[in-house]
Amino acid sequence: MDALNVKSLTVVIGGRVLLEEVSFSVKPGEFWAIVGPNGAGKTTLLRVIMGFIKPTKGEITIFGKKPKDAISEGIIGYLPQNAVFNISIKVLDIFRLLKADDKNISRVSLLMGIEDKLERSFSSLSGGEKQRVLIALLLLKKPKLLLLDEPNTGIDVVGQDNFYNTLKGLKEECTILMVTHDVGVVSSFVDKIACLNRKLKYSGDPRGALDCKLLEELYGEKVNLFVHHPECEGCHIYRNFS
Amino acid sequence: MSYIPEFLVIPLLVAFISAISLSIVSVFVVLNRWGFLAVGVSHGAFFGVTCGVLLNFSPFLLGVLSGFLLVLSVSIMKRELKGEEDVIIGFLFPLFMALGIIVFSIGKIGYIDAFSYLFGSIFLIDESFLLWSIVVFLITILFVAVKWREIFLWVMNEEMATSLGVNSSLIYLSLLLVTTMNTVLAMKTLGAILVSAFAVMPGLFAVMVSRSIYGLFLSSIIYAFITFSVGILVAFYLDLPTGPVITVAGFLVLLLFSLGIKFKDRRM
Repeated sequence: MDALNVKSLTVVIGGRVLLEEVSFSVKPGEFWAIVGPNGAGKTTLLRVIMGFIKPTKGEITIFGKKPKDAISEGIIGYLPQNAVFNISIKVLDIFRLLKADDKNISRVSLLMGIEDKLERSFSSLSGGEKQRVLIALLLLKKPKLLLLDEPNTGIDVVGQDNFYNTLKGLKEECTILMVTHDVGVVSSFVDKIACLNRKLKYSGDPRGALDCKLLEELYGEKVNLFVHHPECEGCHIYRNFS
Repeated sequence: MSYIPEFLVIPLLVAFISAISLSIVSVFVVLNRWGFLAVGVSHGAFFGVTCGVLLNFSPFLLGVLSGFLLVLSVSIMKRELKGEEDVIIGFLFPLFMALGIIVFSIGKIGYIDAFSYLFGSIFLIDESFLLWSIVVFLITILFVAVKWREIFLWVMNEEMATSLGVNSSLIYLSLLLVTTMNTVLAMKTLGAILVSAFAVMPGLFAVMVSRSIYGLFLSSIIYAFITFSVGILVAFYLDLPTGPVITVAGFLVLLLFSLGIKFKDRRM
């Protein structure tokens, strides 16, 4: 059974076509990135999967269930864009809001690399640390599908590698669908990439998404990309592929 | 109690119950950045209260109804218009206040009554309000005691909370209603113009000084108790309206703490 199945999805709001005939399927345990220019419908796609926007046409199933049922059964964890807020309470107190036990809290803290942040005030953390805490909060509910909308916002270049590696490590926990702008950086970490600009331009192997013609078609102009050299894993040396 | 004149016992009880109740809600008003909604409630409620006085039918209930309807519509506009609601709010809030004043004039309710509803006077609080204040206080305590975890998750991020199993619509509407009831209740002491300030100040103080969830509520309640005590005492002995004096006292406490925190940060 697919973790996520999107079939002929079309969304029209106020006469504007936001998504048109989008179809793709995600296998359990896969790590997907959705890339595309601003206004391409990436966030809309996640919001439709979450059931916040009703599709004009098409169908979505999450582990064989309709979005509404999947949400009520706690199958999906959703981190919206700019979800970071300022609250001066301890990270541990935030986790306790879900009545989580110590074992579960240690598990998610270890997964997200925030074991030493539990006693810190949430507002004192950096942007990247806050995102890790919020993803850990979602993981407390053991979701099968994690939807992340630009979770790398506020994380510096070196921190991003670390962050994506952490997300890669969650593959055994859940399936991940992440919206991002970093097509170059993310291609070294994900299993599949979906290139979206209202229509699905490409979905499949991440290296295929680095094709100059595809990117030019996707963004409407020539794109200079900096990506990890495939043979220098983890050395932080970048090469211009265009 | 022997030091308090008998005619002041019930007004003081109502004033303190409403202050403590509003201070609990104030934590969520601040965390959720609902300051503008508190202004809306007071403006909307003023119209309902005046209608209640004119029709001789529970000013409290009509105040809650009109305040709730106004903030609910503004809140929906805020969601739909995504930041472009300012212009509508700019005339909608004063419009309700203007309607209230017109009702006052039509009903010939009188300048003193209008003044006390606008700026607050504990001397106008009667026994019927004691019952309402206890009811609102109990509803508030019960709501927060049962739902505090979900409210905090909802305040953090509504959509994320939904995926965590929180019924966001229920929390949103309940919190809006509880905030409205508390704001209308405190209007008697603080007045329609100034009550919105007190819907924010205890929560703001709590966010400034607290690092835990329980601390947020405790510091907000302590702040409300102290500023109400000081404000009412000063207003009583200097024969001034309670609302403005409590608001100024509240502001001074906030100012002192802000300066204290800045001074402490500089020394570190």
